[in-house]
Amino acid sequence: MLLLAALAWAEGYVAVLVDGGPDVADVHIYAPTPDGWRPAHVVYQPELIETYVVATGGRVTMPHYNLTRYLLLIPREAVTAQGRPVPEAPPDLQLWSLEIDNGTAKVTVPLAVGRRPIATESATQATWHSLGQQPANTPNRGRIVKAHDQQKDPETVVAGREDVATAELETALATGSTVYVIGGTYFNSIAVAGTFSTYMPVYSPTGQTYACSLDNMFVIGYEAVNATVGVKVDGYITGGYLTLEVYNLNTCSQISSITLALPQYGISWTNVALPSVGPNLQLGLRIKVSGRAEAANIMVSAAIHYSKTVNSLAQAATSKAQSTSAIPDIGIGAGNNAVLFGPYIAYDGLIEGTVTVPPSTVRLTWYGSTCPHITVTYYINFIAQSFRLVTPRTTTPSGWYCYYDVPPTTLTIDKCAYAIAKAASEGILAVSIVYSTAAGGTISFGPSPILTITFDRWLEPFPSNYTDGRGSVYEEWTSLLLYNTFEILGPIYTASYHAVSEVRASNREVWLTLSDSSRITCGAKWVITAPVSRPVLYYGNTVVEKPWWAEIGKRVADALELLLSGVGRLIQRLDSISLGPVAHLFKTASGSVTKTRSDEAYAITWRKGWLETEPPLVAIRLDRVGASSSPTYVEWRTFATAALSPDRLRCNFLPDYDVGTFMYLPPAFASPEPLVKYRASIWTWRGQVSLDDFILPSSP
Amino acid sequence: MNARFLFFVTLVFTLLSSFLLDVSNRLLPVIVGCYLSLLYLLILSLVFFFRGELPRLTRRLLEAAAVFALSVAAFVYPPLTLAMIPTALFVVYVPITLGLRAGVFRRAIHAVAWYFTTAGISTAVYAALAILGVQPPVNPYTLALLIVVPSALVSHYLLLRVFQRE
Repeated sequence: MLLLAALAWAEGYVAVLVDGGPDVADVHIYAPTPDGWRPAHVVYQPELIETYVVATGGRVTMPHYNLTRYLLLIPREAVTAQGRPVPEAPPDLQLWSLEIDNGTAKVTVPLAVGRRPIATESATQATWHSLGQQPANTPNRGRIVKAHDQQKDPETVVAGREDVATAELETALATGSTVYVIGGTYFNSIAVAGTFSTYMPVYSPTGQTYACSLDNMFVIGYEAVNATVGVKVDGYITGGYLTLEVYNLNTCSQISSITLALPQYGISWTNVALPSVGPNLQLGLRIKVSGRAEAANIMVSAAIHYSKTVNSLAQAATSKAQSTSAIPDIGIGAGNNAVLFGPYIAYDGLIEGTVTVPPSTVRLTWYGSTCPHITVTYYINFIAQSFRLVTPRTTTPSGWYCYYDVPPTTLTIDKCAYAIAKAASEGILAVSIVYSTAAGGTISFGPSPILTITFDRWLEPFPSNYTDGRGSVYEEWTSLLLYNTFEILGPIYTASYHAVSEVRASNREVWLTLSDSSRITCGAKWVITAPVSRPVLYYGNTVVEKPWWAEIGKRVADALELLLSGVGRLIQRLDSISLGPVAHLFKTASGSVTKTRSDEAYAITWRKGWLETEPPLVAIRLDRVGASSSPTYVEWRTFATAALSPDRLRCNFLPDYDVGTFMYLPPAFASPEPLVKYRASIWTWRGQVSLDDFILPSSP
Repeated sequence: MNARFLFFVTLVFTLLSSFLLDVSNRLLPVIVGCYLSLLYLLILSLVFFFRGELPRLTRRLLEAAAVFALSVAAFVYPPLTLAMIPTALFVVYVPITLGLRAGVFRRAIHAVAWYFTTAGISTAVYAALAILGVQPPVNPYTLALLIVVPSALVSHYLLLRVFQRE
């Protein structure tokens, strides 16, 4: 940060520390210079806190941020050229002022603030935001004052949060209501040297990098409104530009080009509006970077903001994630101490999300006569979300100890912070709790602390409408759609247990998928209320078939059962103690899936075969039972996995997770011919995929 | 060797190996083979339990070793698992045949009666457990062993007394 401040000065910027200022995370800020309004940049100021990382059990000092404390980098001319008349604010921007006090003199700089950046002929002038890694060292203190003619609360108007406020998701989404959705884009990083000008390569797990015959095109989809663009520069770039080329994918024509000055180094993000093309057209994005560098590595990501209208299909579905591991008691010192959960996957398509933090107990060693209060601050992605004052269990110490019961807390995921995380940190979600105490002691979370993250999600690249303007059904809505996801949370960067299961459905089928990165899952059980039949097991894209010898062996064993006693398995014969284990050998050689029904609930159980290694991806295809002309409201009740015992001999089912998420399945009808067949996959939109990826020419 | 001694020794080890029959990896054929070879000796000693002496013990031990070797072959080449079916029949019916030859069973009907009486008693025990709602905390194979073997011993004793009177 010192380096940044020094460079800022060298390059014509004055660094001003604003503490307790308005939230400016998704706005552009300009200061007047003789050459016109020029962008100011924002560097959020960290508080360095010793953090206990639950995933590793280690401690590390990590920066935590409060979005009201930041460094404004103001063009030097705006500070030095005092006395000139303040130019009029550009259209759509509001006038604020920044009072700067450096200890010896005070100056006031007008600021123009708004959500849309100023565009000139050559480039779009954008404010870049970044998270500082070290506290700034500047004598300049600033205070932002809103202009006298502003009627609305600046945080509401400028930060543009009014759209989010209307996007409160009810349990059932009302048809016709608008929801605001955050999705992601995925580009690979590139290494550059010398003078460069290149497109960022699209990351696609299936090689889908072309659209409209153009390479490096990321398909954004329908109803995209704006983008939070994140840039990470390892190294140093001069004269760099980043150009967002926006295409209409229906006509294959470029409709917009947004050029931004590329930050010289570090991680930064900014917000840009995307051109409006109407609800029936979809957008594509190519990103080009250019400039000069001795040697640098550039990564660009963009979180896309969509505006969707709820239709009768109610495409929103709930994804849920729960942590599993127990946490030992954590020793703390006086001052600020953080406990970090995660990082976990930040899914695309977020409408609304909540994080339920488990309760904890703090015990402080206290020699005073009265126990002090403690404060607890909750952070998501290291950005402060809420704050709690906790009173002691008793006012006086009990045996030199003061106890504090910190209740469970539900946090709403801030969509701005979420977009920043997707743009600037590759889409992770980390939750930290900061305990501010006057003395040392311990924090305990109990034997089974469960952190639950609930995402209400949308298939964001798809259109809101079910049919296009000519009455034809969009291909996307005839597809196998993602409904619910349940994630067993081990942090994504460690080897601890991490499994993701999804429920997807079409008019004909329901698919259950399970991905386990730790490769210790040997069984799973889903309980859902969707009427289903005929389960078929896949590992990846391949149907699991019994080996020929196991099939023969099973039939012979069954025939012997009947032959040796006229009533089959109904009596326990002497030979059953020898034939039983042998029949078991044949029946369990390969993976099996069974379906049982209890009232309206269907339990689908998969078990790995003894001949198989733990598959990375399990998929179960089920036929839907019965026809319905309207969406079917069903529940995913519980989910359980079986894991290998530590000696890797046995496969033991673990306790059920209470999922309790709901979904609407599309109208069920039996097509005369299968429309398409889909590969088994975890559909989280991580990387670009195309619907074509999921279409196979023939039935498996 | 005394058949009763062999019976108790093999019963313990068969029970122990049956605990592993729910293994979920490629060792399962070996464990089943180990179980079957022990079971062979167990049933053999059960048939000769009231006679006291087990004839041609060395050959019987070699047969048990062959059963185990077969399972190891299945571990190496899984289709050989098919050979476990005749092996499973061998494990039960060869001791009965040997019992007939040695005169433990007076007539064939004696052996058949033993077979079905064992089934009857075992099924009755299972039914009683179900009625009482008792679910022993062992896997189904261990439970079957715990029920069928004593049932076989009891029925053997009863039928020997019945057929001795003839």
